[in-house]
Amino acid sequence: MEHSIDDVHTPNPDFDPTDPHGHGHGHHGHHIISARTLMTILLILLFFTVLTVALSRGEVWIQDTFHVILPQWLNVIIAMSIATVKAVLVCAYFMGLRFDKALNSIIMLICVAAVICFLFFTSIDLGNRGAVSQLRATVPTPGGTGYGLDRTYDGISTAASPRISTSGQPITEFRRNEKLAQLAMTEAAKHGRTEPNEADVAAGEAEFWRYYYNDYVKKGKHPHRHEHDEQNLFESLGFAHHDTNVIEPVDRPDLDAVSASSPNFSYRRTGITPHLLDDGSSHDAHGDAHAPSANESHDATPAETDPDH
Amino acid sequence: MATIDANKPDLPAAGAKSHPLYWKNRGFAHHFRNADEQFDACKLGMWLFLTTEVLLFAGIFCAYAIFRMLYPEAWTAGSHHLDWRFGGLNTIVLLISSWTVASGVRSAQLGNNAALIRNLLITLVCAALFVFIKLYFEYIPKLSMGKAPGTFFSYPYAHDPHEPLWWSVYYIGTGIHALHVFIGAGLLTWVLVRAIKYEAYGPTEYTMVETSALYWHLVDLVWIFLFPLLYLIH
Amino acid sequence: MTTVDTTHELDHHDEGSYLTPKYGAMGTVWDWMTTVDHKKIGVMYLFAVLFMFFLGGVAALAVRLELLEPVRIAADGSITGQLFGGDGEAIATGNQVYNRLFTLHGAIMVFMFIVPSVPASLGNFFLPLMLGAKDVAFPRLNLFSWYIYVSGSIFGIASIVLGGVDTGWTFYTPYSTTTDADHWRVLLMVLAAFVLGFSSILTGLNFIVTTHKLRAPGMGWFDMPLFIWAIYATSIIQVLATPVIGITLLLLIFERLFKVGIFDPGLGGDPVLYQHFFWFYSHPVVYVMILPGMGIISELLSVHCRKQIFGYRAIAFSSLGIAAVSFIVWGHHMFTAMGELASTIFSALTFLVAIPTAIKVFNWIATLYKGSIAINTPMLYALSFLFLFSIGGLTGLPLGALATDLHLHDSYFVVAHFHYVMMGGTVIAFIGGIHHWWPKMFGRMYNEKAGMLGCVLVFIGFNLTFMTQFFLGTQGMPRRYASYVDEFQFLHSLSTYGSWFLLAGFLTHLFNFIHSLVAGPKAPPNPWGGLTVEWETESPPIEHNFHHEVLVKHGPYDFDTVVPPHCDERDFPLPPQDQVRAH
Repeated sequence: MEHSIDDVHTPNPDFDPTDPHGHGHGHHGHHIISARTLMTILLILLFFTVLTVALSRGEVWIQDTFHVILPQWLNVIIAMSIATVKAVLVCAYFMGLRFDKALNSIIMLICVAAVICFLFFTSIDLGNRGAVSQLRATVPTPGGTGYGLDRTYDGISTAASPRISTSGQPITEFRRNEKLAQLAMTEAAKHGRTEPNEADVAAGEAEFWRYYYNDYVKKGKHPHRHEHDEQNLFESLGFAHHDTNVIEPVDRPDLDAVSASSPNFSYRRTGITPHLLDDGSSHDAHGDAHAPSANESHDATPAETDPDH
Repeated sequence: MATIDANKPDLPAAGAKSHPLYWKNRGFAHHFRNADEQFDACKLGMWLFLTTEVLLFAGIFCAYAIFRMLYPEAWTAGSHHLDWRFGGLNTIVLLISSWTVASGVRSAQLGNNAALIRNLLITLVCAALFVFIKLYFEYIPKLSMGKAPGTFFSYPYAHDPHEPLWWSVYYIGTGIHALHVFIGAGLLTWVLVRAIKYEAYGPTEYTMVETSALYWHLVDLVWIFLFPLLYLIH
Repeated sequence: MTTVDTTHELDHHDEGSYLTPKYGAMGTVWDWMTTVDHKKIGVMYLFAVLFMFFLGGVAALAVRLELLEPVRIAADGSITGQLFGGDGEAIATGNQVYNRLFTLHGAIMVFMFIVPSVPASLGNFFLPLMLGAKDVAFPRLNLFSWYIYVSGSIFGIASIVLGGVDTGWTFYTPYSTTTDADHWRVLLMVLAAFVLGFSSILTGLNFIVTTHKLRAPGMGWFDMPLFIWAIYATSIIQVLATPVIGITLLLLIFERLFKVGIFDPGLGGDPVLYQHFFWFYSHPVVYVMILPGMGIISELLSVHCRKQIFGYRAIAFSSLGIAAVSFIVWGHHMFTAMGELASTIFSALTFLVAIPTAIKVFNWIATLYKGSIAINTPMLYALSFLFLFSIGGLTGLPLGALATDLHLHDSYFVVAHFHYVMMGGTVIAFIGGIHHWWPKMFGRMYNEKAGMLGCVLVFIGFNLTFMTQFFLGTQGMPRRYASYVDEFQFLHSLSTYGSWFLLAGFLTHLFNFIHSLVAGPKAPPNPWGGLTVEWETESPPIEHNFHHEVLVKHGPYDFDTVVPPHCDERDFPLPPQDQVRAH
C-alpha cells in the first residue's frame, strides 16, 4: 500500500512514517476489532442460524401443505450456502482474517481446495459406479448381511463390540425381529404357553405397532414430526392411520412419488418391516434373498417378490 | 518453560506488576528477530494447524456425503431422530462463546485483564453448557433407546436398513467435535488461569490468547457445518 | 566476497560444536533427551530412521530369501523351498509368516523410515542452517514431534514383537478389521501409523513456518536452496494430507473395536471408501517420500559439478506443482476397485504428474552439461538417482494408463516400479545426501574409496534385485505370494542374489561411517566448496549455528562468480569473469 505525502501531514494515529508498510509495528499495530463490529457479526450469525432453521422448517411446511416432495439437493444447497456464509463471517471477523496477513487467508483457501478435491473425486467414484458399464455397478444388500459380525475367534476376545449373528439379515431387521420374538414370547407367557403359536406372533406384531403408533408417535415420544411422512409410512405399510388395528394392504401406486424423492441410487422406501405383511411364515432368515435393488419394489405382494409363498 | 510461582517469597516485593510473566516483561525466543516476528510465526503455525483440523473433519464430512448420496432415505430417517431445537440451541451457545472469545482477544489487546477473564469465563460456561446439552438431551436418551452406531444398534423401530451407519457417522462426527470442545476448553482454561494468576496477557503479549481463540473458533466453524447437515435434513 | 556480514557480532565466539558434551555421561544423555536444538534432534532422527531402515531391510532380505526357490511338494509329501515353517509344518503356516514379513517390511519402511527419513533428519538439521536461522520456528514442538515419532515406533515394534500383522502396509479393510482379532497387533500397528502421522504433521508445520519467517536477511524466496523448496513442498503435503490418514485410521480403529460399519459391507458400509480415504493421504505421501530426495539431488548435482543449477525457478515451481497435483491423482492406486468413469478421470489426471517430474529430470541433466563433474560418492549417488529414478518414473506411465494397469495391477511390475522410485529415488538420494553432509554434521570425513565402492555395490545390487521384477511382473508373477511356478525361478533367484549385493553395499557404508566417526580425518568447514549457507559455519556447527548473524549476498549456486566460504580460490577456481554469463 502506497502512502502519499499527504498521509504524513494528516494526523493519522496508526501511521508510522518510519515504517510506512506497518511491518515493524508493535502489537499495538495489530488490528483491534471494535466491540461494535463483533456484536454486529454475532447478531448476523444468530440471524443466519434462525434463517437456516426457518428455511428448513419452511421446506417441510411446503411439502406438508402442498403435498409435494422437494428434491434433496435443495435442502443441501440452501443449508450449505448459509453455513458457508456463516463460516466466512467467523473466519473474517472473529478469527480476524480480514485484517490479518494475506498468507493466513491463502492457507485457509488451499485447505478448502484440498477438502473440495477430496469430496469431489471420492463422490465421482462412489456416485457413478454403473455410469459406464453395469458391470461395476454396486448392488449392495441394503443394510448389509451382517456377515462377519458373528465371527468367533479362538483365544482371548478383545472385540469391544457385541458379537451378534444376524443370519444374513441387516442389523435393523435383526433387531426388529428380536423385538417381535420377544413380544410374541410375552404374549405366549400370558396364555401360559412356553412356545408362541401363530396367534401369539400376530398379537405380538399388533402390540409392536400399537406401541409404536399409540405410545410412541402419538404421544410425541418419537421425533418423527413430519405429518405426511407418518401418513405415508403407515399407509405404505398397510395401516390406515386412523385405525391401527386393521392390518390390510393398501394399494398405493402413487407411493412411487415417495421413491421419486430420492436420487437414482436409492431403493424404494421400505417402511418399517418389509415382510411384516406377508403371511405368517414370511419372516424367513434369508434377508438377502429379498434384497431390494434400485428397480425392485418390495412393497409388492408376497406372490410377486417370493414365488415360494 | 519453568513456571514461576507468583506467591514465592523470594520474588521482588513489588507484587504482580514486576512478575516475570506479567505481560510487559515477556521477551521472545532467541531465534526470532523480534516479538512481532514471533507472534506472526505462532499465528501462522496455528493457522496451519487449523488446516490439519479441517482436513481431519473432512474425512467425516466425506463419509457423511458419500453415505448420504448412497442412502438418502437412511439419512432422512436418521435425522428425524434428532431434535433441531437442541441442535439450534447448541449452535447459539457456540456462536455466543465464539463472540466472547473474540471479545476476550480484544480485551487482551486493550490490556483489560478483568474483561479478558470475564469473557473467558463466559466462554467456558458456554462450553460446559454445550457438552451438557449434548450429553443429557442427546447422547444419553438416544443411547438408552438403542440408537447406537454399528453393532450396538438395538432400536427395533428403524425405518431404513442403513440407519446404524447414520448413527455411526453421527456419533463419530459429534464425538470428535466434542473432543475438540474439550481440547479448546482446556486451552482456554490454561489461558484463564494464567490471566488470573499472572496477568500474563496484554497489548504486547497475547499470542496464547489469540491462538487459543483461533482454535476455539474452529470448534465453532465445524459445528456451523455439522448442525444443518445433521439436524436439518428432511 | 563472503556471505558473512560482521556488522552484527553475536556472542557465540567461544561456543563449541553442538556435539561437545558439556556434562557428565548421564548429563549428556539427559541433555540430548531434552534438547530443543534442531541439529541434535536431526541427528537423533537420522539414527532412528537408519535403525528402522535396518529392521525393514532385514525383513526384506528374509522375504527375498523365501523367494529364492519356489515351495515344492515332492511325491513323498516332503516340502522343499519353504524357509518359514520348515519341512514338517504346513505350507499355510509358512505363508502366514511370509505375509507378516512383507507387511512389516512395508509398514516399517513407509511409516517409520521413508516418510520421516529425509525431512526429519537432514531436513531438521539443514533447513534452519540453509536459511541462516538459529533454529526452527518452534523448537519445543520439534522435540515433541521427535517423541511422538519414538512412541509411534514403539507401538509399531510392539506389534511386531507380539507376532506381527498380515494386513499389508495399506491396512485394507476387511483384512485389517477381521484378521488377528484375538490380539492387539493390528490395532497397535494402526495406532503406530496414526501416531507417526502427528509427528509428520508437526514437523511439516514447523518447516513451513520456519521457511516463511526465519529466512536470513537478504534471502528472498528465489535465493533459497532448492533443497529448501523441496522440503517446503513436502511440508505442505504433510500438513494437508496427513490429517486424512489420521481420521482414516481412527475410523479403522473404531471399525475394529466397535464395528461401526463405515467400511464394513456386512453393516452396509463400503470398503472402497476406505481405499479412497487411505490413498487421499498415501498418494500425496508418495511425494513426501520423493520430493526431499529430489531436493537433495539438486544440491548434489550443482555442488559436485560446480555449475549454476539449470532452470532454478522451473525446479522450484515443479516441486510445488508436484505437491498440488498429488492431491488429485490418488485414484490410480485403485483402478480395479473403482467405476470406469472415475478410473478414466484419475488416469488422465495421473499423467499430469509426469510434467513437473520430467522438468526436474531435464534440468538436472542440463545442469551436468559442461560442468566439472567430480567423481565422488555424492556425485555417484546423484547419477545413480538420475538413472534409477528415470526408470522408476517411466515405468509409472504404463501403470497410470488404465488399460495396461488392469493387466499389471498387483504384479511384480508394480513392486519393481515403486521400488525404483522409493528406493532408487529416495533412498539413493538420502544416502547420497548423508555422504554430502556427513562432514558438516559430524566434522569428520568419510573414506571416499569405500563410499564409492559401496555406491557401486548398491547400484548393481539394486538393479539386479528389481530390474528382474519388471520381467517377472509382465510375465504374470503376482505380488504378495510366498511361492511361484517353476518358470519364474531363474529371475527370482537373480533378484535374491541382488538383495545380497545390496546388503554388502549398505554394510560397506555402515562400516565406512563408523570408521569415519572413530578415526576419520577432521573435516574442513566447506569440503565441497558449497555456496549454501550451511557451509559458512564450522564443521560440525556450533551450538547456535553461526558466529554472526547471516546476511545473504549471493545465490546458492553462483559457482561462476563467488569463491566458496572457507575455501581457497586455487581449489575452486572461478572461470574467467568476462566469460561468465549474467544470471
